[in-house]
Amino acid sequence: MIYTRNLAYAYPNGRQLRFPDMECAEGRVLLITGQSGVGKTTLLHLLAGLLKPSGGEINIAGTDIGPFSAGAMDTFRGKHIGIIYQQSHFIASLTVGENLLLPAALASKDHPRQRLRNIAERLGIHGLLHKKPAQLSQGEQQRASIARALISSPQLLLADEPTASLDDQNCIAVAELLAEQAQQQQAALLIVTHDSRLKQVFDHHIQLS
Amino acid sequence: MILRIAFKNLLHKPLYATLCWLLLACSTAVLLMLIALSRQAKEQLEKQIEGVDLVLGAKGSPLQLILSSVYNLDAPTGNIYLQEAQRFMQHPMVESAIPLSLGDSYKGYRILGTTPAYLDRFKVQPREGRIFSGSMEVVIGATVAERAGLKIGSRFAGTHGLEEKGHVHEEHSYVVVGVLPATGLAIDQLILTPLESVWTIHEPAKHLEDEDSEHDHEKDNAVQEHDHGTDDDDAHKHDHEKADDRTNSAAGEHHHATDSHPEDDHSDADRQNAADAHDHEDDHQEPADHDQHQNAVPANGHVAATAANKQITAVLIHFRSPLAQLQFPRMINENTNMQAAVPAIEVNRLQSLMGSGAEVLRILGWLLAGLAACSIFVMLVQGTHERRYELALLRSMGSGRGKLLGLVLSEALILALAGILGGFLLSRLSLWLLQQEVFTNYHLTFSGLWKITATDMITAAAILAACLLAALFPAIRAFRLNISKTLANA
Repeated sequence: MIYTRNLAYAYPNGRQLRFPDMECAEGRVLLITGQSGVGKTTLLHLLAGLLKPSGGEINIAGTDIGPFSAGAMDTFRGKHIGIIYQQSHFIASLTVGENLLLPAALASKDHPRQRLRNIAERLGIHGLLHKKPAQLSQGEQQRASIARALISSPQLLLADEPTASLDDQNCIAVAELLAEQAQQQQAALLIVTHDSRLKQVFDHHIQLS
Repeated sequence: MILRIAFKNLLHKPLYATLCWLLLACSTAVLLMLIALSRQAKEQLEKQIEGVDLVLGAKGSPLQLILSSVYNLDAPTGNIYLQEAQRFMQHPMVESAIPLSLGDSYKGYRILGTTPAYLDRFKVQPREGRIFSGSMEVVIGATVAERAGLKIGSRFAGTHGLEEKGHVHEEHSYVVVGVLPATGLAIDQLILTPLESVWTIHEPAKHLEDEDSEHDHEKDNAVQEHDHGTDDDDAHKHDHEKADDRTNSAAGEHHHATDSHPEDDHSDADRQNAADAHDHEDDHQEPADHDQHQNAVPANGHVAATAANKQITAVLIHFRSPLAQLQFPRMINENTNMQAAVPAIEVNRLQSLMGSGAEVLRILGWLLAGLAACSIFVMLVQGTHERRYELALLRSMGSGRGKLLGLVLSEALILALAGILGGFLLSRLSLWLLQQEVFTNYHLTFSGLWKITATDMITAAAILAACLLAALFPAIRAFRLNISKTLANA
């Protein structure tokens, strides 16, 4: 589903980062851990095409994303990649429901309202769809952002520290939820985190140093 | 979807959006109102002087003469003798000359003594009834018919002077014989009658007016001037030009601009006049003329040449060739006691007078528009900064840079369109209110209230462009947003 070869990134200040090759198939989970400052978020942005690598190859769903222009990358990302952030960001002026439908609307897919209802029900937020994002609790926001990442059925799910702000109990619950959703959708799930609690849940894991 | 987000974003900050909208609406309203008013003024001013090359009247302010005789706005400058005016009216270089006599009104609408040629000038025919043919018959303008509630066959008595209150000539009543169609010109607000009516009314009422003549003279706005036509013979000419030299206020009761009798003469003289008015008439007029002015207007609208001392207020002259326009004014102004005013010149003067006031308003309007654009700029700069995570999020969810640019521009566009629409409605509403209150008092008709001209469109487009220009910087910032950095710093 996704693999990288000799991936490298050069910061504008000249610092070089080299990443180990990695691979993740559909329905599988790859945990990428490391201490703060080793370039976890940079790696995630590279994988999402938000940053351009200085060398190496990223292949997602059989496509090398290296040659993509910014516009083509945006479109490709909208179609194939769902991202879950540590802090959940929403369009404050839209309701939760509208926010969840955004990726589909932006990718010009037909509004998957039925799908939205299913996902919202699975994540236990179907009662919150008409609320404004600011009215949701932290945990609800996190679940809503997972729902949003899932809505356009991406083949690749990228999660950036999805559990950092959660307590132990919720941490495991969210991790399992993510894995379960990825499994159901046959999506590859990459979790970038420094949260060592997740190592107990996922066996497939790469340590950055 | 982008439009929807833009709209929701505006609603999310209702106070800011309302402020911008208000500024935009006000500036648009001021500018559009100005355009409509100046268009209207220009139309009214220029339509009215069509076919009038020169106005002959009593000495005084030429602008006042034009305003009173052509636009029916100001008080007249005074009266002139028909006999004297006829020298010029029958001049070979003159193609047509329309005599006017002002002095009375009904419910604030001026009663204008004239000839049917006045109607020909505007190419109007009564939509009901017929043109006046005898003394005391009137043809009324459309507005008069509507607002004063007059119709064919209605009888009414004129009020002395041009104000709504004044002495009512109860002993003479006019009868409506025709109603004119609406033209949007001053003629809508006029009551037209043969010159003879004016002369008839002011002749036997002599003694009545005399009693309160002193009182009338003191009135500041005593704009009444009377044609005492047949009453006054050469021996009883009075000079009523007061020291203040304002001919119209001096006008008072009697305009005898051509005479030079001492003031104190006049009450004696008038009393005598009143006593033997008819004698004088018989002395100085041929019987046929007497009958004629009492009963009938000459068919050709030509006033009898024998009317030696009849007075009129002004004559509208149309020349055969433009050449006459050069010679006539000098000829009249230098050799007679009358004045010749050229409408085209006075209208230009008036427009330049009004122009400076309009200019100030226009600057104010554009200043407001500039403020509105600035407030949109501030709102969007602040908004794109506060919402930079949202913008990055949109990018990460697959919307391209173009869409972010479009999002910010759409917010400005929605505000601008709403503001311009609001301003347009506001301008029309205020014009409508102006029409109800102010214009009615000045007897102006505002036509084409909903008409949208090219100038309106250009102004709206300029405001729209200013708003989009103000949004351009924040929009480009959104376009160039570094999403990776923004998201990493979240």
